[in-house]
Amino acid sequence: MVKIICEGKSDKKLITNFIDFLGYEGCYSDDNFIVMGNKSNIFKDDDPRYKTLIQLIDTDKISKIVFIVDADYEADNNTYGGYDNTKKEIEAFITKLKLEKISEYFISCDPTTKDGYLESLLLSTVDENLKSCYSEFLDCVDFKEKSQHKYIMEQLHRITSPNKPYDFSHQNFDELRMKLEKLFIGNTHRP
Amino acid sequence: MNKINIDKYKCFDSLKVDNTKRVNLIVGKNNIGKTAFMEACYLSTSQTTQQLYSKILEVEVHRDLINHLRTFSSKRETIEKLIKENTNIDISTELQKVFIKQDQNRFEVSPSQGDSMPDGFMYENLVSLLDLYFQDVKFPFSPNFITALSDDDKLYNTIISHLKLQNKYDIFNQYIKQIYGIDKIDIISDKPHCSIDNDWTKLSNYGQGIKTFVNILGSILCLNNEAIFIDEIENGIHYSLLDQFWEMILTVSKEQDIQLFATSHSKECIESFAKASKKLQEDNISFINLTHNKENKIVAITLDNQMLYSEIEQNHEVRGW
Repeated sequence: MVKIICEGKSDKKLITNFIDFLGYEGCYSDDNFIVMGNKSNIFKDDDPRYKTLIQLIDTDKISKIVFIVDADYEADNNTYGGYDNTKKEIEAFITKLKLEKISEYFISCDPTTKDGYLESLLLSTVDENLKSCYSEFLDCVDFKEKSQHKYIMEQLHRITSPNKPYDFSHQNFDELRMKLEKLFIGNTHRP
Repeated sequence: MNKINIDKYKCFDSLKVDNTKRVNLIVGKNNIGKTAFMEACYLSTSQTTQQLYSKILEVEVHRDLINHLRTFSSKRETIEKLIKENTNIDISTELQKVFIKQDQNRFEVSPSQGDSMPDGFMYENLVSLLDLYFQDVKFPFSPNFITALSDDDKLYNTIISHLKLQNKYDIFNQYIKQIYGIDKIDIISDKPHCSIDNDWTKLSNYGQGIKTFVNILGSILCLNNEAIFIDEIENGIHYSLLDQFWEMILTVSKEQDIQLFATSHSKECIESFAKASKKLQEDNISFINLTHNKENKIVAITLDNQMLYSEIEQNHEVRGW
């Protein structure tokens, strides 16, 4: 079996949409995901979810893992925030857990600015004019909670473009596609 | 028992299970060895050779009761067969002499040759063993090892008598009343009966769920500072009662200082086990998943309470990997 370790339930939902687009619909279940709740939990090696994971690996139940973690912003956290810091920390963490041989990671961000979240990656493939509209909407309603902006913009886009919210064939998804295909090829699990 | 090593017993070549706790739920796919795991643990609680062989007989009777009852008239052959199937020791008799064969070595056993016994076999133990050969073995069920076949009037009789003597009878009936609405269970003409509004009905007329519940609760209340092994613990119990069932088991087994091992196949049963332990803040539990590794060797994945809660919260398959 393979495992995808991600931060939150909304990340899991977006990742499953992308996996379905890749043609692996029905080839995975909840068993293939570990949802850690937030970014800081991803880096806690004593989390019970990792204790179980290690035993599953030791008993040959898991053959490959992909960590999908948000880059966030360096200005918010100078240890774990930003692409470079996240890269450094996730590599160190994988080494600490001795998972180098079976693990890959993907850092979710806007590919241009190299910061942000999985939603930033999704929105990076959306027309600039539309994105300006969403930003203006948030400014117009004077929405203060900045931490919710990514979620609201992503939802706005999903609601206003229900038929085809994202173009998953966009080149910005190439790295994620490559890593997930590598994960699933030869390791599909039909529940 | 907080660490268990099983070497060369039935399907186990070498199994190590660390971090077992006071209450342990064992899961795994069919034929992985869940019951054999409990049998091995149960046999290891023997303190004498006689106890060991008595328990070997008991676990085998649980495995194949109907056929053993059919051959009950030829009990000597039955006992020989059981012992031969379950150990690498063969026992035979010829003209009042007794021989024990272990692997390729054959030992004649007599008072003058007691010193030639293999390690661990003293003459006194052999006398006890011979008693097993020739006495009327009634295949008594013990309250320490419970399966669906423990539905035995003689066992109920023993349990109810013990509960009365130990002043646990009222607590027993309180739980039965709370969960099944039965006022009282008592023995009438050597048969267990249930009373509702002073109307007595044979327990045998009730469904399997009530029998399982009565058997488990009664056995736990009877014992003190011992280990108990329960195969397919949810047998017949409706899923809507499983939360209460586990709360009762966790509470009563703690009061009686019982270490409990149980097997299950049921997702609802596992979820109720987790839910009840969380509600009672009982962290002295473990969840043991038996599975095969790449070399097809049986191994154990052991989760503590927090690990189990996380797996269930994420809707992961926990019934067997």
